[in-house]
Amino acid sequence: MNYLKLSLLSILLIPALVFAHGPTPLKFDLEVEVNASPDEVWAAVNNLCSVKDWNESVTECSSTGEGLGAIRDYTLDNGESLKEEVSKVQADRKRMLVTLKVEKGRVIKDIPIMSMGSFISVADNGSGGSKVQIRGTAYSSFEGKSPPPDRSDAFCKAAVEALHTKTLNGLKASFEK
Amino acid sequence: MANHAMAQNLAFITNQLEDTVSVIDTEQKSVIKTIKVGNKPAGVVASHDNKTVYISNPGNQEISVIDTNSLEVINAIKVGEAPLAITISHDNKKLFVADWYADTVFSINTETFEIEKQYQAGNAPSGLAISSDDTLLFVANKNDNSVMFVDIDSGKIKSEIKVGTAPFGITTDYDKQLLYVVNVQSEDVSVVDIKTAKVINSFPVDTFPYIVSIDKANNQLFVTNKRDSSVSVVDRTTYKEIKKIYVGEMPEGINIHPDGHSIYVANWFDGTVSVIDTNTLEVTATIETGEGSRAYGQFIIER
Repeated sequence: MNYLKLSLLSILLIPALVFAHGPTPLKFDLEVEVNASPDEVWAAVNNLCSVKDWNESVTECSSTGEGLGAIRDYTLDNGESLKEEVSKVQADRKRMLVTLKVEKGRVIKDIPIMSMGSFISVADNGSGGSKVQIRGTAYSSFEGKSPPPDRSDAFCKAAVEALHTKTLNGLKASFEK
Repeated sequence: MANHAMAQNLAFITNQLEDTVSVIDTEQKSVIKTIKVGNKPAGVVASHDNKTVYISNPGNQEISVIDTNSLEVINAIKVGEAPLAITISHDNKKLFVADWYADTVFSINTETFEIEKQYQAGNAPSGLAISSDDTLLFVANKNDNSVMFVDIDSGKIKSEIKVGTAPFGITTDYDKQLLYVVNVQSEDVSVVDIKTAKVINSFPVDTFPYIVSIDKANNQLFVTNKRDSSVSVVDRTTYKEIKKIYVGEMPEGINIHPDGHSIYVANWFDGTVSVIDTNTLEVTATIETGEGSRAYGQFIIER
């Protein structure tokens, strides 16, 4: 991306990143089985920018590192940039919580959510491989009683599920090719 | 032969993602009825005479009125833009409903089902509680990081105090004349003295805490940590953590059973209710309810 766009984005990122939302969280619950050991998969998940290799919609990614407090900034092929933080890690359970922070008033194109908490976990699938789950909650950015169809909870849920499904499918393919 | 029926305790669990309420018989530890209510039910409050349970449905701006005898919805009251937090006066005459989007609290006459009064609240009022003499309403304003004390008669805001970040559940400790205000994003609980309207203490809990329940007999507090799948047990005097109990995924609503022996916790992600023994601090049962169980409010009655 060119310098002007980057600096404009930086200005947008300065205002408060908030969790303001409405009264109804939406739920997502996705899973994939992978022919690889939980240790290998967990290590790959901890590398936050693996998402660029796995998710065909992610065009760029940078991260501050791994583990609790690490932040990843990534860009989607629709031009939108997102920032997520690893806000919780339970290494013994191979589970982490990744939290999406969105600037107040921003409507993310194609995924008009205001916040999201994604629990990513890797478990033994009982036959030598792994079960990887992305489960969690998000809120629509629309505040009011009659959202248009492209701002509704159903629309947001479908968009979030599509995003995570791409990540999981790409993760699986990367270990099994 | 006289039919001497034992008192029955029922828990009313709102299932926000399937538009129903699960009614649990707490003796059997199972659901005896599933009631269809409005859209996206979340909040719940039982009248103090145990005759009526009120459900807030932010999805279609309605309060469902459930008769606890028949376990049927007998009325639906349209209120505001997004009714969520709900509480009732001790004389059962006034139902208070906080409208998340309109920054207003409505009071509804429970006999006529009409909206009687509107109170100005702050930005995104998310929690409600009431004083023992029904003169003051306590309102948590999630986006203002504040709690307001509102005079019910005059509507005047008597105090507005800053608490932690994103306050949600408010629980009144009537014996100690305190409010426990749970701050979702600063992950702590503010202890507010009702008489002075000041924060006198605070204590940390875990990730995305939501609501406090009081166990007077054991002098402990139970706090749901929505993004830690746990309930923090905290000493009610020292505010030191006693134990952390793991329940289902994303627990939110929490109430103590009237007999004081157990705590009921609604697990939003799993669609279950965990039952915790207040003495052993262990989970003794997990009850299947419905999608998106929240039970935000006061949800256990005796009939």
